Amino acid sequence: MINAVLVFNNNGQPRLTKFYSQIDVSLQQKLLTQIFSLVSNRPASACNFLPLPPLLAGSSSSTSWNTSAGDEPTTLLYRHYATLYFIVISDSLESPLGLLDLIQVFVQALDALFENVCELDLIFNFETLHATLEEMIIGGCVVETDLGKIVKAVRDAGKVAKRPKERSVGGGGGSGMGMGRGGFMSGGDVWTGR
Amino acid sequence: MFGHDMSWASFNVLEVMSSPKFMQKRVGYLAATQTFTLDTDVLMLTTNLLKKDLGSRYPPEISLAINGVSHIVSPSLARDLSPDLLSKLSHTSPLIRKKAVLVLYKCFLQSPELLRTSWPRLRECLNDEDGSVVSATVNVVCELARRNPKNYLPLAPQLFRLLTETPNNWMTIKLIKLVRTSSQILFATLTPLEPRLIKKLTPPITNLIRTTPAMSLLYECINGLISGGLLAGIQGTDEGEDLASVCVTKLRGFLVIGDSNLKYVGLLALTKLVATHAHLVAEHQDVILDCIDDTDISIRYRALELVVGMVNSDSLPEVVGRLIRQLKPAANRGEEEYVELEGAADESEEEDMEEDVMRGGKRKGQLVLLELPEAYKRTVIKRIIEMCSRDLYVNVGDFEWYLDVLVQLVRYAPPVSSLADGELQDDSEDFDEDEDDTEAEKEKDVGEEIGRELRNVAIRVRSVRAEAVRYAEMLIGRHDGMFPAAGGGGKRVLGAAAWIAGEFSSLLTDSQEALNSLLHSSSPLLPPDILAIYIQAIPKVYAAITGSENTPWTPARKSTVTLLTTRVITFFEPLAISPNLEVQERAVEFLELFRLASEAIASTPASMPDAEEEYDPPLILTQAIPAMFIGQELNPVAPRAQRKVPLPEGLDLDEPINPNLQQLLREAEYTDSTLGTDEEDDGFREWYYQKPIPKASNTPASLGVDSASAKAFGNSSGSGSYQGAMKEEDYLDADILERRKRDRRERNKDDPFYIGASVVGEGEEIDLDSIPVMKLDLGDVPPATSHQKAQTKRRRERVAIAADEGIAGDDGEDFVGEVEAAKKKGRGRKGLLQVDSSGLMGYSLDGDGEGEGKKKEEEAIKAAREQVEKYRKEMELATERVKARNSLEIPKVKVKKVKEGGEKKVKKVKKDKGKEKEGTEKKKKKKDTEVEGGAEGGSKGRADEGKKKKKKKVKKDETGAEAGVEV
Repeated sequence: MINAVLVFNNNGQPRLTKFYSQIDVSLQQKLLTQIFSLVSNRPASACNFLPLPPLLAGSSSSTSWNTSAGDEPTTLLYRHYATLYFIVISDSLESPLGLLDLIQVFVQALDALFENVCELDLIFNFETLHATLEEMIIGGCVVETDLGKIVKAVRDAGKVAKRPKERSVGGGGGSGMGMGRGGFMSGGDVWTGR
Repeated sequence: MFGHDMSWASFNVLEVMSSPKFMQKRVGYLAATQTFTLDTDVLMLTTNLLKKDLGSRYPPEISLAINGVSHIVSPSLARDLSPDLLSKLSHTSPLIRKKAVLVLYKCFLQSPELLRTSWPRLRECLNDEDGSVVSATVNVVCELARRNPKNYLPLAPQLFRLLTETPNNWMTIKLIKLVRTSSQILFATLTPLEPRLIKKLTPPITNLIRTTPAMSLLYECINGLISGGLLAGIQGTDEGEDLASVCVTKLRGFLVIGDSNLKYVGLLALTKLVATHAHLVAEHQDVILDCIDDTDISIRYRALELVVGMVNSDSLPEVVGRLIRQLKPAANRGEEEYVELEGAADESEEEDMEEDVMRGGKRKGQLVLLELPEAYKRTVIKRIIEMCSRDLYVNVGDFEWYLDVLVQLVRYAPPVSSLADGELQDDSEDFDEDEDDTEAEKEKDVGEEIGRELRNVAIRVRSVRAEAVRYAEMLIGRHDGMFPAAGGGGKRVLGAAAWIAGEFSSLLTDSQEALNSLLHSSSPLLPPDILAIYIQAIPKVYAAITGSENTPWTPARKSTVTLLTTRVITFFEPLAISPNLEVQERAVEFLELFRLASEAIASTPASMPDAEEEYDPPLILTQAIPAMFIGQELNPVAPRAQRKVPLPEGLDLDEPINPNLQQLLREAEYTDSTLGTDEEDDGFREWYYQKPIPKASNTPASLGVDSASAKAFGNSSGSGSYQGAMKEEDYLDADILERRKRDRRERNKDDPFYIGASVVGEGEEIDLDSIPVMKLDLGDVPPATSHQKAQTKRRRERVAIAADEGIAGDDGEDFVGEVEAAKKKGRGRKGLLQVDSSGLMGYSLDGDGEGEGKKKEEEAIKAAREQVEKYRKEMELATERVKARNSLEIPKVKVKKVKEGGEKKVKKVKKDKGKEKEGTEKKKKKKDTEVEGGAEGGSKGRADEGKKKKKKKVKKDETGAEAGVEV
């Protein structure tokens, strides 16, 4: 399964941290720092596999690749898009190459949702970011890899807020479903409140 | 959300979650998923809310709730919500269905007994018309099967159909993974189904490998074949060999395709394959070796690992050469001019350098030349040693070459971490993915290991012993360039060098000089353990210098000896008050001895050349001191041999040897204790000096010979296997090379097939005399190596390699065990293998922690696992039963009754299990026995009321399920 999905920018500021197992906040912080220090040192030409950070490397190691079908995280993958690093930590049951594609799909989905996504989009619409991730991964298992379906599902949930400038124009209208439910929840205009 | 603690807000989060507005609800759920833990106390308040949201009419709300559940599910939540979730399995929207499937898996993790009741429903999902639902289900089955594959064998036909038919790559990958994990375990348990399964699976997978365009799928297929043991399973058959070679060829494609990720995974797969099909992998040596010089450190690590497994006696020199070249400091690398064949590799080397520099520059600003991280260098050195010393040097053909390599390695030894400056420290921390660098290990210098190898070679391989001694001499002399210029790395090799110099002091070329360097004023600054070895070595060398009986006791000799003795005494004197006990003890002992010696020397008049009276040199020099060190030949001893020496009968170690010790000591204070004069020598001499009848059990066991790296009997040898493209000039330093050349020439002087080295290069002649070259004693087979098999593929010298000595009758399986233990120790890997095996069947119920706390957990889980397995089996049985009945009686109401009846028996088990799981998970320290006892007692006491409650619950379940159907 996938143990964690992390997104942080070039300065190591987290933009998304999703751990599929419950660990301490302080540990999370430490892990983030360690991973960032690993990832930021790599030249662009290097491959997308990272050695495990010290925090994770404790029990597993190089040889455990061969023998274990265990749960310990063995793979640390990253992809670098513009200002953001997308990190996936997984165990041996996931296909590393498949995960790289998954990150790609994730980014593509965000791109489709935000129309040319940038870091700011993710900061201001973190809910959409999370919602997209939730459409793809639930509880550490990949649930959907089809780009179209993911985008549609997120859109359907009526959560896709347009970019700030368009938002005033579109209002809550960018989300058909949200409007449709307006009667029940008088919601959908939550963005105007901000 | 970004790493701040917000447990204080959990109740407010709950409030937001229950907001009727969808947008607010979403924010609330988001907060909950990010911050709630199993310990959050408001968790129990969420049950109703979640129930309500799960029952919502709007898919987005349901999926919100489902996602929420996937994060915060606790055992009790799992129990309470499972009916609602199960009903979602038949929801009209596939969106909800696929998520429900995955959430159920989360619930199973929390309360495994759910699996029994919901398994049939889950199984139906494999036939769902929506692809993503099936994919999700396969995913779950895959995760479940990892814990216990036997449960899911009945699914094989269904899954097989999916494997051959599905167009979805992602699912196929999962299926292959499933095959892999299950076959891994199936092979262990030897299920009768296994051979059929292999036969059935091989064709479609082979087909996939041949046809698929998707690299990820291709890789997973190959990986599945390899690590699933399928290849090993059909090894030996033609089909198996074919398949293996197809795999290797495909993997070669990965390596040459130019994508670094593919390279990485390709190497990974090859590393796994090399254990079983080393010869196939070795065919692709060329591409693999290129990867060693890759710019990417991760790839280098992988390639390094692979190469260690792949190397054989033919490729060893080349591989080692390449690795050593990497270690070469960048400055040197620049000025090296390579010979013709190296053109291509040369370029990559330059690139490499640039890359490193660029990276270093980018990060550290002005930093001079940042090369490979120190940890990597360290790993390289260790791997080189590992490669060479494997199987008792089975791959090393030319030990002189090996010695040269070792000495060269000392030169490239990276600085010790503790001494390194901050930046380097940083680096080494970042990249120490490979085991070895736990704190203690980190302090360790590679010099230690190099030293161990030197010592091993010196002892085991007689023919190059002289050579080894010479190198040891140079090392302790700390000649220019023997050690890295900066950083102080590799200094620990001195210990071994000093030991060699002392032990084989008769072979020293210039023992006077050796003693000088041992007595050098910087020696006391060495680490205490090395200093202790020095102290031991000094008398040995001293004895070699002064002990000769034949030289007349001339005044000149007397004065030199007096001078030497005084020097030794002055060296020892400050050490006698060393804070380190070992050093102190040794120093004090030898100090006394040397004082006696100096007295004896002073009292013995020298014999004048013209005088008629001849004096013998004092006996303490010619007999007493040498007798301490000369005796039997030292042989390598198996690491555990000493433990096996039988305890002599009647030996009580607690009994004082002399009951009157106290009294003796008191008397001793009064009597003048100047013993050790000549006449007392006789008994002493007899005791120590005469060879006892050689018995195996008499071999000195604690010789300081660490034979950790020795592995098995067998030896091989040879020289001149340099057909490889690698030239020694590329990785050995000029002076070492020169020495080699000289040696070779010397060796070939008598050989009629060589043209005599009449033309000697300038500058070499001078040294020629000062360094006598020992002849290889070719035919000399030491008595210890009765287990010799000579491999003479091509022209090879027979180099005798002494194997470990053990006690008679101590061999066979025992020896293997020892060797393995020694191997583990020698490689300095901490508990690698043990952890793996326990993780293999890991039935960890929570989603697996990150690092810390996991070990504790693992222990608890391990204890609980056996029991869980038992319950599993019962559960499985029950599932089958329920299924059978389900298929017979379709109407729901009846099923309810049947279920109640059928479950009664297992109910107790269920209860126990649930309790036990909770116990182990929550309080990890709790001992299993306690839990068991508690659970049993509790369950008996509560059996009756439990039953009643359960009945009610089951009813509720059913109504819930029905309601779900209605929706």
